[in-house]
Amino acid sequence: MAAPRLSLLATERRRDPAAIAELRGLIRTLERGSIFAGTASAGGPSSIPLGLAALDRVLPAGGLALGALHEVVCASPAGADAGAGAGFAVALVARLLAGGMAGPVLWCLSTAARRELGEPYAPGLAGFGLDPGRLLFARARRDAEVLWAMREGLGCARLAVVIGETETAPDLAASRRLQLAAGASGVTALLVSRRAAGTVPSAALTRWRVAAAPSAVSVAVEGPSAPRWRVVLERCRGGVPGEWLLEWRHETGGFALAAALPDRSAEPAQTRLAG
Amino acid sequence: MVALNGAAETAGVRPGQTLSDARAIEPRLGVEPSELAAEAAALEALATWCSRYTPWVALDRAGFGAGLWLDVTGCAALCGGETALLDDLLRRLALFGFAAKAALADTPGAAWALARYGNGGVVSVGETRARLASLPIAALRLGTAEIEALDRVGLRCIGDLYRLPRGALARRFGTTLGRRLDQALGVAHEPLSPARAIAPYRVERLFAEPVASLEAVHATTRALLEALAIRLEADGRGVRRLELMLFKVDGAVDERMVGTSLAVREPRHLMRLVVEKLADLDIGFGVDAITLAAPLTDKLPRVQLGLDFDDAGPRRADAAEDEAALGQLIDRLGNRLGPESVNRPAPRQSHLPERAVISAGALEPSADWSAHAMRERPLRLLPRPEPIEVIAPIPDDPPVMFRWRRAVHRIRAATGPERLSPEWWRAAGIDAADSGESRFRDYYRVEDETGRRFWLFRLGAFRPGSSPAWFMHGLSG
Repeated sequence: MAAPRLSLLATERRRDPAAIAELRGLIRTLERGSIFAGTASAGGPSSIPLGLAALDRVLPAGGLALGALHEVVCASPAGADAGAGAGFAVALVARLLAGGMAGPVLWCLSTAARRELGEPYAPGLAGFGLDPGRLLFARARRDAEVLWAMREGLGCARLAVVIGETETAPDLAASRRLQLAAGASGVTALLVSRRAAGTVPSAALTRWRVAAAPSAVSVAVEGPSAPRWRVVLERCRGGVPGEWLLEWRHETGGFALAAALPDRSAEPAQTRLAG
Repeated sequence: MVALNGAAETAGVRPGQTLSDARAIEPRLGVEPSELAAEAAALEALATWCSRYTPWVALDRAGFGAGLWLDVTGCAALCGGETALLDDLLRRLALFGFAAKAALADTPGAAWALARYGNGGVVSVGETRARLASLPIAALRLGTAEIEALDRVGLRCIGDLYRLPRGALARRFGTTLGRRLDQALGVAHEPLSPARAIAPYRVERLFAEPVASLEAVHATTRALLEALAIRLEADGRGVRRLELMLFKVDGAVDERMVGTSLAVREPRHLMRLVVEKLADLDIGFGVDAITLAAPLTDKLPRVQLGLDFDDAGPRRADAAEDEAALGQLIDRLGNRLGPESVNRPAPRQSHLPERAVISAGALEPSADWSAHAMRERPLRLLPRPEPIEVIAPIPDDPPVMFRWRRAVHRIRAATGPERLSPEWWRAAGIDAADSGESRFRDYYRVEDETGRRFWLFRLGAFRPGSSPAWFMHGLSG
C-alpha cells in the first residue's frame, strides 16, 4: 500500500534534498511499522511495558513495540542456550498477554525444534505464567515452513502474538517480510533462533541475545531458584542497547534485575558468555 | 475359463469351462491366470473415471462380464444428448483399450440386458418392452438353474414371459424371475447403490478440447468454486470438505481433498487452499473434465456485509468475521502442514507427564489450565525420555553429574525426588520392567553450572548390584 507512494515520490523529485529527507523519514516510519498503526490497531497501545524500569527506559516506545518483529537469539553457537532463549521468549509473551493483548498466540515449531528442545509443555508453561489456553500450535517440518506459517499468522489480525522457532536467524529478506506483515496487521512477532551464527542483518525492531545464568543460591530454597538469563539487547531501533542479568519471578509473572552489569557501550568487547 | 477374447469365442470355448475342456476344443489356446484383485481394482478405477459423466456410478461385480451402471438422469444434456453421451463413453473406453458395450434405457435391468445380449444403444422412453422381447431369458440376470428350467418348458425369450400369468410363473420358477422381469420393465423400482457417497453439491466442467496448462485448470477451478458458492449461499450452507477431481486424457483421475475447520463458502479462501493442493499436479497430456464436489457441508447463514446499521449489528458482524478469519488461518496452516499439525493443548488427568496433555482441535474452546499449572514442571518436554549417564554418590541422592547428547553437565543445584507412578493398568514401554511389573519414576529438577535447567528421572528403585537407568525428560528456561 505504501510502496507505490514511495516510487512516485522518488521519480518525481529525485534531486530535491527535502524530498530525500521526506523519503528517509517515510522509510523509517514504514520499517517501524507505525505508519500502519492508525489502520490496524486503532485506539490500542503501540507498546506494552515489560514491567522493569531498566528495560522499559531503553526501549523507544517505553516497552515492547506491538505490531513489530522482535528477535531472540540464543547466545551459544552450539545451541546450548536454546532452553534459556526459549524460556526468555515465553517470559516476553507472558508479559505481552499480561499487558492486555487479546487473542490467541500462534506458536510455530519445526520438527528439529521439537526433537532438540522438546514440545512446549502446557503444565510447565502455566506454572511459568503463560496461559496454555491461549496457545495454538503449528507444527511444521522445516524452518522454511515455520517462517511461512509465521507470515500466514501475522496476516490474521485476530492473533495476539506469533512465535516462531528456527535453527538460526533467517536472512534479511525473510525478517523484512515478517516485520512488514506484523506492521500491517498489528500482530506482534517473536522469532527465536536456537543457535547464534554471526551477525545476520535483520529488519527486527529489537534483538535480544540470551544466555543461561546460574540462579541465586539461597538457603531458603532447596535446589534451583528463580531462573536467570544474561540478556544483551544487541539491537534496538530508536533505543539504547544494553545488558542485564534478568530473573523471572513466577509469583508475580514479572522480570527482576538480578545484578547490574557494566555499560556495554563503554567496553565493546564485554564478555557476553559467562559460564 | 473366466474371460475370453473374440478368437477363443469363435473357436467355441465358453466361459465356465475347465482348462482341459477348453484345450480339447482349441489346443492352441493361450492362457493367463486371472487376477481377481487387480480386475476389481481396475473396475473401481474405471468407475471413478466414469464419475465424469455422473456422480452416480454403481459397480456390477456379479460373475462373468462385470460392468458399471451409470445413472445419467439429467446429466446427458451436458454431453449433448443421450446418444452423444454413449458415443463419447464408448469412444474414450476404446481409446483406453477396453472392448465395451453400452446401452442406455429406462431401467438398470433393461440397460444391463441390452448391453450384454442386445445391440446396446439408446432405448427411447416407452420402448423398453418391445426391445427386450427378443432377448434371451438369460438377459434377466437369472441363475443357471432358473434358465435351464425355463429352457426345458420352451421359454427362451423374454417376450415369451409377457403372455404368461404371473402367479403360475412364480409358483413354478420362484419369485426371482417375476422380480427381475418387473425391474427390467420398470414396474418394480431397483435402486443402484453408488460406489462412492453422492455429494449433495457438485459442479463440473467438461472441455471440448483437453486443457494442458495449469493456469487453465486454476481458472476453471475458480469458476467452479464461484458456481458452488452461489448454490451453497442459496441454501445457507458452507463447505467443510471439498473434493476436486481432474479427469486426465489418459484415463487417470487425480483427486485432491481440502478440509476446512469452519463452514466456508468464500471462493477466494477455498481457492487458496486448492491452489496449495495443486502445487504438485502433473497435467500429463491434458485434463478434459474437472468436477468439484462438497461431500460435507455445514450451516452457514447468509451474511450481508456492511448493511447492518443497528447498534449491535456491526460489532456482531466483526466478531463473526474475526472467527472466520481465525478459521481461515487454521485452514491454510492445516492444508499445508497437515490438519493434525495445527492444534491447541488440553489438560488430561494423568500421573504421567507425557500423558497429562492432549491435542485438541484448533477451534475448540480453550481449556482452563488454572488447576493444572505446575511450577515444578519443565517448559519443554522431549518427545520421549532420552537415556543419560549419571553419577550419583548415594543411590537415592540427586545426581552430581550427567552426560546427555555427548555433553557433560555438572549439577549445581537439584531438588527432588518427586515420585510419579505409572498408571498400573497401562504400564508399558520404559515403565515396564523385565518382570512385567510397572516401575515408578523419581524426578529431579536440576540446574547445571551455567544455569541450564533440566528435568530428569531415575527409573525404579535402587537395587544393589545393578546400576539404575536415568533419563532426560524436559528442559526449562
